[in-house]
Amino acid sequence: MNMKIKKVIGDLRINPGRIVLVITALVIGLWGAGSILVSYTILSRDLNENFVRTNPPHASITSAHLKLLDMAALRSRPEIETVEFRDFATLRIETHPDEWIPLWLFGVEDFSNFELAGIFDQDGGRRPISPLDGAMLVERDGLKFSDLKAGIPAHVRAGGRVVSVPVAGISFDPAQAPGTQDHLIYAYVNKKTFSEITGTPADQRIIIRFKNVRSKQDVQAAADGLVQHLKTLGITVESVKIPKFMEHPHQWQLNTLLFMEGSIGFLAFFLGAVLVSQLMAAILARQVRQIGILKAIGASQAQVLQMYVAMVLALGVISGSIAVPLAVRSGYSYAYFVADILNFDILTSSLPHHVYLYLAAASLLLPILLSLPAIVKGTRISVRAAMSDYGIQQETVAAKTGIVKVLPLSRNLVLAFENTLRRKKRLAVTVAAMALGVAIFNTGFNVQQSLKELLLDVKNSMKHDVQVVLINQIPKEEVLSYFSGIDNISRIETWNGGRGQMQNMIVSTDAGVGIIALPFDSDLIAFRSMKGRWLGGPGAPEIVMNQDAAVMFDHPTIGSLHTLSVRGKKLQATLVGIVDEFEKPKIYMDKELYDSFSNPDHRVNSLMFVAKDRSFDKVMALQRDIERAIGPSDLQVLYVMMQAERVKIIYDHLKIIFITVVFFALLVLVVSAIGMASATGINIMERTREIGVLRAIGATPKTIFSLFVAEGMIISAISIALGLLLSWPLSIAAASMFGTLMLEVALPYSFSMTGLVITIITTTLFGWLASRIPAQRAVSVPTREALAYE
Amino acid sequence: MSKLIQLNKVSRWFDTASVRFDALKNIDIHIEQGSHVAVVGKSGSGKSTLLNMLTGIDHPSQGRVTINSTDVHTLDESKLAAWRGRTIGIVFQFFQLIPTLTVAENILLAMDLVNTIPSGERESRAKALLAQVGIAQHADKLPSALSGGEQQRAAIARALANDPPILVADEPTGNLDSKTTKIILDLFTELVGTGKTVIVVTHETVSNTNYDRIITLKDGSIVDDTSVNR
Repeated sequence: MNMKIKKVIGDLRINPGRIVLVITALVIGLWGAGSILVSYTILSRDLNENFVRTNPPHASITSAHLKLLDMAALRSRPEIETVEFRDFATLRIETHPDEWIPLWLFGVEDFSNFELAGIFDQDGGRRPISPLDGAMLVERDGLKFSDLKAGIPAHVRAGGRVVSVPVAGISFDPAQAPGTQDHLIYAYVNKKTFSEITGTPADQRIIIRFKNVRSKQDVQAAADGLVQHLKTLGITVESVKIPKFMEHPHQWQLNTLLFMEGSIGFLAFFLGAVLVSQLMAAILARQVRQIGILKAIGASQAQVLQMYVAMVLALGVISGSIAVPLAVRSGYSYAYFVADILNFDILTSSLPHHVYLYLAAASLLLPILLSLPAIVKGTRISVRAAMSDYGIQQETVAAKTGIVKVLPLSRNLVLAFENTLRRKKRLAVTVAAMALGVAIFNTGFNVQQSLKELLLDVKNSMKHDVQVVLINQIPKEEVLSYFSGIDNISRIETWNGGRGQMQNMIVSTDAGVGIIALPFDSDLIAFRSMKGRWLGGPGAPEIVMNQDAAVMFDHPTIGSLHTLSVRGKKLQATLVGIVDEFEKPKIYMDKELYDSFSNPDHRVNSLMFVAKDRSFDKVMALQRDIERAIGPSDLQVLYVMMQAERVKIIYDHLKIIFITVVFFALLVLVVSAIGMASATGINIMERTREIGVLRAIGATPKTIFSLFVAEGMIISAISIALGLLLSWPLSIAAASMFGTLMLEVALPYSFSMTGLVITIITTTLFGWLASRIPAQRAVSVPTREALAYE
Repeated sequence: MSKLIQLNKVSRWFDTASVRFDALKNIDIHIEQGSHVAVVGKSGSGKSTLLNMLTGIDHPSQGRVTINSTDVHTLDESKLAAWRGRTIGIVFQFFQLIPTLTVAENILLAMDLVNTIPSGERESRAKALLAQVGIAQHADKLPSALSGGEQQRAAIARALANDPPILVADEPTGNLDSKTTKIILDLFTELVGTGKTVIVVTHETVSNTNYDRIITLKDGSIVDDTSVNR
């Protein structure tokens, strides 16, 4: 074997602890960044791929007169790519005994021959089985939070009736928002069963894909044209629904995750890079004298360079061969985790070649590129300088810090301070890397706090305990009579209008936004105002929008006049405010105003219950009492929901982001902590001879040990202080970006005291471990050996 | 005999923050091929700086260094390394063997780096060199397994690896007992007998029985240059 290679191998073997540290650091850095790359590659393709393979419709049109349609003629229209009947009804289903949640029931025209809004069998591979008359397929995500399963009958409440519908099988509909997050079940039946369950005729809703459309505006124009055409056929359209153009309903969650992965992955990568370059600089520092010897016996700079590049390459190969398989595995695991939460299938069975190329390049080239400056610097050293290298130079030892000297510190602590400042460049890199880790870790908690405060806002913005939403509007006195026998009711406030995302098909404006009509001075609502003010008075022609509606209407100005249309009746009202609400687009108006133009009989369709005893158990009991009161009645209920459950739904939407934020932030902290550990280890190793001198002049191992641990603590303290300072603007930026991605509005900055405590404890612990372990090793070296150390 | 080494008006100074320190002052030394020269002086006399000039480890601030017809002071670092490998073998006070390689591998490394000995001959040459310095039995041991004297002999074998005409030894016996010192100095004498030029730098008092010439330095200047007639 070539002696140059043999020397490289020998150098790698001479200090296994250090090499293990370098390889560990490289493996963690590569593993982290690689996992992110792998999962990013999979997730950025697969959610959309899942969505697209359903061949999602561009729009749906609802009308009681669609039976009049000649579907063949409609399909032959030039703007139509394909069109099918796909009836839809919102019912309720019993998920556990006495627990009812919304059921979205789809009536499929022909299970064996549909082209649009495809559904699959449970495994996502083939078309689902065709359920027999009277039976239904349940979407697989619903199984995660219900007792429903194939072969058993499900209880469906349609209007005042409870229908037993056997679950014929389990289906998979990747185009829908995950049922677990929206707390609803999706089910699919044939047309006949749809009519039987709902009590309404089938063929009242068509789903359409248009040709040559590239945006929602194109779809809107095509849909408008189609509506006009239907009018000429005598078909009055009740509603047109246009979802986001070719985008999964929960794409925003994935976008948030991918953004987070991308940004934190970059930072982890950056920290890993700093770590590698630092470790390589340390290895070369140890090799300076040997470089001198090599040159003295005839080695050229290029030869020395080759040997150290080969050494780094060997480290890269070892690290890469460990990290890449781990990264692929964990990247897939994370992708599967996200896919399970968002209810889609991982379709990427093999990664694109470029991913492996990037991973290989990161494994092999990155350590070389990062250590090249240190290698070049190390190998350029002259023989004379190399042969007289004794580690830390005299002049740097002499550096003094005036502030430290005047502080009332023990001699040992002053020495620790001065030692910490000896290698200023390394200290700066170590502190910068650690501070960045601290900043990101703390930012993770602060962003989480911003999200928690958003949840708290949600909780505080609606002060009722239980909400009952009816499908139909009913006279107030009649509906209240059903609940008169329930004890734990302090009061019931009645509202009307639209009822958010699940109901805005029934009462909606032309743009499909929900309208909530409530007493302008209701104390059950307290949104945070973003612009303008809340509704001003009884009957005033004013509206307030939530921020999603404001986005939908392209950020209208306060004071602008808007025309609302509900069931063909129109009203002009002034926009007086925009409120912060984590909900689908909604418009709020005074109930008197709503009644005056659309509801002359003062009917209601929402009941807001406030309990006397508002403890969780009592409110749960109240919800059950309400369900029992509804049971025998002929009330057609859309849903009964506790306020706590509403908050939970939102929490479930954010949970994955909570978990990921902290996981990735911790990853960054671990990488930077390893960086700090290595830097501390290097510092201590380089001072082995000094340790020998200290011991020779009487310092006990305990004194030396405490000196090094104090140095680690000082670095931790500086890093924590800088990191927390840095986390402030970082948290503001991150909250703003997350808010914009999720809610189209910046989240306010929040400070997490828990995060602060955890950050300080974790970082201090890392700092302590990072100095304690090498310090322990250093003091265990016999004085004689320490003095002889070069 | 021809002049193998010529130092003409060589000075070397180091500028510090406050003063200029003159390590060598206007030195003229001419050394013939096959000489056995001792450079002696106390600490700070300039002998290590002189050694650096002879080996191309350092350049003069002023003057010319010509060795084996090469103007050493004109070579860049890369050319110097190759030149040094071919022309000069260096023996250090602390042996400076590569601790991760065996004794034989240390010699092979020197040959691999310079690449003047055909690769097929390197192993046999390494063995022959180790036999020449009397430690053939330790060829496959790591340096740490050898005594100080054995390590120094291994270092001499390494210095001879590429068959350089000049051997420069920096305090080669500074770390050795008197018995081992004699062995090493006898070895140098043997090498001179084979035509090598051997220059030993030392702070110790030297016996004129070992050397052809003794150059004494003090404060960067030659204060004595004695040739010993045999």
